[in-house]
Formats: sequence, structure tokens, C-alpha cells
Amino acid sequence: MPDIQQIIPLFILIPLLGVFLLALFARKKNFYADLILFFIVSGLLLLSGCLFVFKTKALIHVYCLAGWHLPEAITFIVDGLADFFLVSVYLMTFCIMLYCLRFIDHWTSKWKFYALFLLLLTGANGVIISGDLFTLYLFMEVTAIASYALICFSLEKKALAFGFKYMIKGIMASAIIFLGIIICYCFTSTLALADIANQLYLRQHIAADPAMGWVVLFIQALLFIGFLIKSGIVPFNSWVSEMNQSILAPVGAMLLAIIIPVLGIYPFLRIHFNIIGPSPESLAIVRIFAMAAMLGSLFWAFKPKNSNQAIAYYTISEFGLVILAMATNTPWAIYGGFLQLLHIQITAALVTCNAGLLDYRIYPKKSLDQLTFSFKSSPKAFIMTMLSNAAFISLPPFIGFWSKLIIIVAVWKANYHLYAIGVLLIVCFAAGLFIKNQKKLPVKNSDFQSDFKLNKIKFSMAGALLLMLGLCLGLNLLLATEYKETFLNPAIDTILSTTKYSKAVFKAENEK
Amino acid sequence: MIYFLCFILFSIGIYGVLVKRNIIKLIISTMILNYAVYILLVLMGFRWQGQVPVFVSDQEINFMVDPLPQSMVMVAMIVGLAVTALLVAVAMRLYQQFKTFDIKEIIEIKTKKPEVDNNA
Repeated sequence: MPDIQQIIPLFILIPLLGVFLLALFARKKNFYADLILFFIVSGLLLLSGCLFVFKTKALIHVYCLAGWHLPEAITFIVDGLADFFLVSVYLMTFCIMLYCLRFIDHWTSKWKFYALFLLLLTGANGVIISGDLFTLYLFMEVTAIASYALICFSLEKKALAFGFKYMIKGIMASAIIFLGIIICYCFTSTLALADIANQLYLRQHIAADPAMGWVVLFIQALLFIGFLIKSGIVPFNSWVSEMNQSILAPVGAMLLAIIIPVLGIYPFLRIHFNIIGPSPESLAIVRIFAMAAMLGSLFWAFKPKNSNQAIAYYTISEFGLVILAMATNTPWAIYGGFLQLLHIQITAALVTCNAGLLDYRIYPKKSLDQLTFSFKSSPKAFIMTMLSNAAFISLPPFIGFWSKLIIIVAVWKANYHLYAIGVLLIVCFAAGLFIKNQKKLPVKNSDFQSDFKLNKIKFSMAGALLLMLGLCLGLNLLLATEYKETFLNPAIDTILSTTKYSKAVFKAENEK
Repeated sequence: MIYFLCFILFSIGIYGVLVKRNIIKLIISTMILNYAVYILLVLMGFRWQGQVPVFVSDQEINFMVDPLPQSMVMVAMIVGLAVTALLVAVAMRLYQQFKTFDIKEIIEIKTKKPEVDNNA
């Protein structure tokens, strides 16, 4: 059985190696770029799957750089929560990679796009597996820099304007997060996540320092605001509305399926539950906030300018539901939250990539307002659009329906009846609004379409969409107890273990 | 008091980012924001009458300043530099495309409907 600790740094090294290989071999021929990207991403997907397959009795694996030890060492930690995020990120990366292979044909410097893609992946992996706060911040910045470059990649007016806006917001969020890290370091004198949890517990509960409560609240508020800006959750959502219409479809899919969960949801879960620890007051505030975020997104989704804006606001509302489920803090609610997160990642990428097919088909034309698919003109594309919309608004039998049902029942059973009714109403209303807005948007202009030859959709792009649709159905397997126990229970247990995470990490490090 | 001055600098940076319309001024505001945070971090590591954290054979170090915030600031400044360079590059491209540095004019130009070119 391979040593899991030795596999952990490969999640950072392999994508970086890919960037190097692309720069070396793929400058002249696009075929080598496609080959390198395909093998790197497939290999990493298999590696992340191995973390589930080669399960040892230890649920946490700790890798310390340069042979140092906690709490002084720079550590990479893989536990149930990190496992879940690694596998979900790589599933989506694989699908988006398949889509990219032919989509980027219309732009030059394909190898540069792929290099930025792998750099983004490096940063995302680093955020998930990092065991200390400063390393998490650094990898967050690496991911952010790669995403800025990818957003501006097409060099079109809208992309540049959106990219600039997104960069300013990202820099503000990073500064606020860094401020939170500084204040945390000032009061704990350590950067290791496990040790921070230890120190905060000692100072707050054992030493009973009365000021620590306010300090912890201030740190939580700064970090929470920073991660919310990164996630685009209401009220920090001003950049999300223009996202899909300004940038390339695969980049939009990466933003929704990879960057928002990794830079927004994962750090929030890790820091709120495992490091600072949830208190009844903080959970109540988070629940109220999540509900307000869902209502706010609904308000903005009332009159979207186009279908891409409707997708963006609906997705933000769904992320709010994930936070609400986690803040309910019961096993079933957290289970529903993870299923909901998987649903958002897959369906948001699916509808964004499907909308991107329109771009691809009419390239080099820019105007999309007069063109969409009807059943007569493109039956396959029409059926694909209908199915992806159905998955997106969580119709049965897609995974979104079951995740929402589980969350509503779990929230009701946790005696938050008002929240459960609110979620039910918001979910139904949002789905109805989305369907209504899809119907209202301009339908086929047959004169325009008959004069212009549409580009044919390539196999890898169609394959990527079918794979994502298949995942929406296939993930229903996670409703079965055996699969839930293998794939989701470790993540659920990590969240529920709260600050016992610190003891588990030190124990795992000592047992090495 | 000195930490409070860092927060004032931070507030100036936030004000600039939220209020200013000129892209160059926005970039400078983000730099002020970042430098306020770096200064705060360096101050957090400072100790009154602390020695330099360098081991020298003929010197006994009893009380030194914290070296970790200094190295953190070095790394963070390099990352900040990369982001600023990217920001400036995008600003230059924006000027080439829109012929203005005013963010409101850019939004107005961007939201105008483009002419549909039916001849491929």
C-alpha cells in the first residue's frame, strides 16, 4: 500500500510540472498542449480517487515540509473534508478540461491558457491541503492571479472591464483576509491551523480571557467578509452578474465550479468549524445571513438582462443554501449541504458550458441576442439545453432535487421551522423565475440563422456536457448508505468534530 | 496609537477603491490598502528594545523582534507586486480599447449595444 503522506505534495508538484512541460514542448504544436493537459488532469483525478481507495485506519494524513514538526512546520493535511473537495474539484476540472480542448481552438496561445489553467489548479489544491493560515493565503493568491489572467485572456472589451472589476474586488478581499490572519497571529503567535485552534481554545475557555470573545468575533467577521467577497455571495455580488456574458465559457465554469467553492466555501467551513469552533450565536448569525443572501439573490433574479445573469443569480442563491445547511450543524443537514455543493458545481458548469456552445457555434460573430436554439434547427442542442436547465433548477431525478429535499427536512427536524419554510418557498420561486426568464428571452431569428453557417460542435465538448449530465444522475448513488459512508461520512465527521480536529492532527503527526 | 494609524491608512485605501473613478487612482488605492496591512504586520512583530533576530557568535540574544512577520511581509509584498503588475497591464489594455481611464465612461461604452455584423 502506498504511503499516503508521500502522495500529498504531488497535488502541488504535478500541475506545476505540467506548466513547465507546456512551456517547454507545447509552444509550437497545440496537439502536445492537449496531450499534456489531458494526462496531467486525468492523473490527478486518479490520484485524488486513490485517497479514498487506499484508506488506512488514520483519517488524517499530515505531511510536514523539510522534516520539521508541528506547530513550526509548513504542513499539508488531508482529512475527510479536504478529500471531498479534492475529488469534487478534480471531477469538475476533468469535465471542463474536456470542454476546453476544442473550445480554445478559436483563440491563439492555447498553451498559455492551459498553463494558467494548471496554475489555477495548483493554487486550488494548495488551498485545500494547506495546514497553516499563511500558506492558505498564498495559494489563494496564486489561484486568484491565475483567475485574473484567465478572465482577461480573450482581451475583448467586456472581458477586460469585468476582469478589472473582479481584480479590484479580489484585492480588497485578500487585504481583509490578510488583516484577519495578522490579528489571529497577534493573539495566538502561531500560523498552523491545528495550533491556532488549540491556542484559541486555551485562551478563551481555560484562561477565560474575557477579551478573547471579542477578538475571535472580529477575526471571524474579517475572514467571513473576505471569503464572502471571493464567493460573490449577496451583498458582495456586484461582479457576479456580468460574469458569464463577459468571459469565455470554460473560465466562467471554472469560476463557478472550482474557484468559488475552493476560495469561498472551503476556507469558511475549515476556519468556522474546525479552527474557531461554532458557537450557537455565530451559527445563528450565519443562518440569518445565508437566508438573507438567498432572498437577496432572488430579488436580483427578478429581472435579469439575459439568461447568463439569471444563471449567475440562481447559483449564488444555491451557495447561500449550502451555507445555511452547514450552519444548521446536524449530520443530515451537513450531508444535504455537501450534496447541494456537488449539485451546484456540476450544474453551474453545465449550463455555463452549454451557453458557451452558442459562442462557439456562431464564432466569429459576437452578438448572441437574436440567436438561440429551437428544436427544429438543432434538436440535439435543444434537448441538451432543456436537460441542463432541468438539472440546474433541481428537477427530479437529478441530484439537486434530493439535496434540497434532505436540507429542508433536516432544517425542519432541527426545529428551525421558519427557515425550512423559507427555503422551500425560495427554492420553488427561484426555479419558477428561472423558467419564466428562459421563456421570455429572444427566440430564434430564422433569417439570421439561415444566412450564416454554424460551426460544428466537437466530440470532446459534447462529451464533456454529457459527462456532467451523467454526473448529475450518477451522483444519486451517494443517496445509498454504502456510498455515503465511503465518500461523504469522513467529510461530515470532520465538520461535526469541530475543534477536536486540532487533537486529531497532532495525534496523526505523532503517529507518523 | 501607531496601530490605529495603520487602520486609518487602511480606511484611506478602502475609500479610494470605493469612491475614485480614475483607474490609476484605483490601482494606487489598492496599493495603499495592501501597504497598510504590511505595515501593521511588521509592527505586530516589533518588540521595544528587542534585538535583531540574527545569530552572531559573540552576542547573546535574550529578547529579539519576531522574525516571522518580516518574512511574511516579504512574501506578501512579492505576491502583491505580481497582482499590481497584472492590474497595470489590464489598465493599459483598457485604455487601448476604450481610450479613457474613467471607469464610469468605460461602463457606459461597454453597456452600449454592439452593432450586429451579419456579413462574416
